[in-house]
Amino acid sequence: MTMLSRRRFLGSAAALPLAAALPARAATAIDVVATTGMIADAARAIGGEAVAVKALMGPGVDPHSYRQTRTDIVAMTRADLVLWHGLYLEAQMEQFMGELSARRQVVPVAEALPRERLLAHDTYENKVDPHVWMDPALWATPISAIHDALSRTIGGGPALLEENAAAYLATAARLDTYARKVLATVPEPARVLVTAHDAFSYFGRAYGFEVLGIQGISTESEAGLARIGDLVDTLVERKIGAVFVESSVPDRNMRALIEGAASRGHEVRIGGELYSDAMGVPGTYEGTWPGMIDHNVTTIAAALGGQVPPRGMDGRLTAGF
Amino acid sequence: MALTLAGTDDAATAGDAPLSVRGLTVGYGGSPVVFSIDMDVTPGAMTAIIGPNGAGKSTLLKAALGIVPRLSGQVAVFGRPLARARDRIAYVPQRASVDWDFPTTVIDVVLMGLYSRLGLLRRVKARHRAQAMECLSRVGMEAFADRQIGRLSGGQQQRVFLARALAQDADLYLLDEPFAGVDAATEAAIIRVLKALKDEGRTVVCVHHDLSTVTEYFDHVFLLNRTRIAAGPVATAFTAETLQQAYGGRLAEAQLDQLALA
Repeated sequence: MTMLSRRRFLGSAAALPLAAALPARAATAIDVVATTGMIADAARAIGGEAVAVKALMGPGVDPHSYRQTRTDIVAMTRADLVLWHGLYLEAQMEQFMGELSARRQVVPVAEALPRERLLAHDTYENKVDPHVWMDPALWATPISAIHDALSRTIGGGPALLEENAAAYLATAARLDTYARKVLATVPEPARVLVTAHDAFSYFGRAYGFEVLGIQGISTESEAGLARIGDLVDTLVERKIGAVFVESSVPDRNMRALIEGAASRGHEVRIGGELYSDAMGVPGTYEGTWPGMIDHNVTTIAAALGGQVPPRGMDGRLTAGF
Repeated sequence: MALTLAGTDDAATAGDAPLSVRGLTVGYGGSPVVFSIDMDVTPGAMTAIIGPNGAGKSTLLKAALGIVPRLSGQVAVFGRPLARARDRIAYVPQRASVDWDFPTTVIDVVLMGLYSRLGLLRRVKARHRAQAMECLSRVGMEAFADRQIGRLSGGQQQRVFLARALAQDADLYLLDEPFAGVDAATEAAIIRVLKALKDEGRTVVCVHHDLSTVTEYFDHVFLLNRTRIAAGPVATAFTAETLQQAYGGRLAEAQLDQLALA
């Protein structure tokens, strides 16, 4: 961890006395507010009945540009625990979270990762690429940080949530194994992942895929026509047959890319829609973090010529392959 | 934090019970696993929760702790809502349900039990290590302090988790099948520690799998098979009749004879 982020991680956790010392609530469950759906998913899975989790960002929401609403602020100032990602993912909420840390339990869960395991940001020198949930083995550390934060807030000792946390971590390990197996069946020259924005670098690093994002990592900077032209060249030269759209990012640049390639006689299909910064519909398998990863891995492998089980790792995917 | 209250009196008021459950129903996908359970744990007693496989023993414990959802029911811990009294409880889950495949030493595991006292930055001082070592020696594992937890035998791991629970210095200890799959030496060590807790006035509740050791280890039982069958001191609640009722008549005469029932 860099000095700055380690201090932030410990500082926000140390700013307050334990939740148990605050005026107690009568309800059985503690109130947890999570920024991203991926964090909320882990908090619910680990906390079980002992937590009531509110996620601020639903499906299709872009965390890079999300600003907290007044309802969000009310929820966060009343929560027993606020879990956010950090690593500048929630770029517009940084200042607010810093101020909130002085008054509530606020934990940036992704900042538990040591610096050496992180990738540099594509565009901004002093920042890192925040999309760590795309690599299940890497996301295990924030999952543990969530377990830790919940344990300390709920009380009752370390073993209370341990089974739930172990089960969730075991799922993460299985996802990693599944991804390795399935993605290895994609022929070598086809291991190029073209997506709407640079959310897949950790995925690429973990599973040996080259990743090409149309935009910079943040969806704040628009790609110019020239860049799209360069990308069409790349698609044509390397015979890339499938590109991917994302649920939380507009697909107009991807469509421009496909049209550009078609005009050069090269057919490029949309290999599928991936979940990058947000998960699927709540209540569905794809609306959970395991489902999101399972969906992405299976979709990418199938579209690029690999062999996949028809409905993913456990036969639970909504779409068949 | 030891309780001075001795209290094996069955008439202990519900308001003082270390754990009190009313109308607890737990179900998965609509079908109840445990149904309308009422339970008052006697303070200072060693209580066994017993029943056949699938009776809902672990589910009862987890629902009472608020970690699996319940369809209905109330839970009170020392007369207060669960959320307000969690720090008085230490829970030791079934050993096999946690995958201890990560690098942690035995002493670090025990130190986790002290987290609520270390402060949020968790600076471990010499006296914390000393407390952790003391808990380890109570379970006979002090020589293993710097070993990797994943490398120990099942029985040794179980003792380390018990040491961690001791470090929490709780008033109510809830253990889920603490003797399942452990060697005889470990079983003896564990029961010795649990009896010492009872002597200190703390309350111990175990989901227990072995009928043949109930009378030797416990003074109260809670017998269930999805619903409550019997509850009370071993002499009155652990009988041939109540057991036949709980086990649906599946216990053979010979098995009952061996249990040294009242």
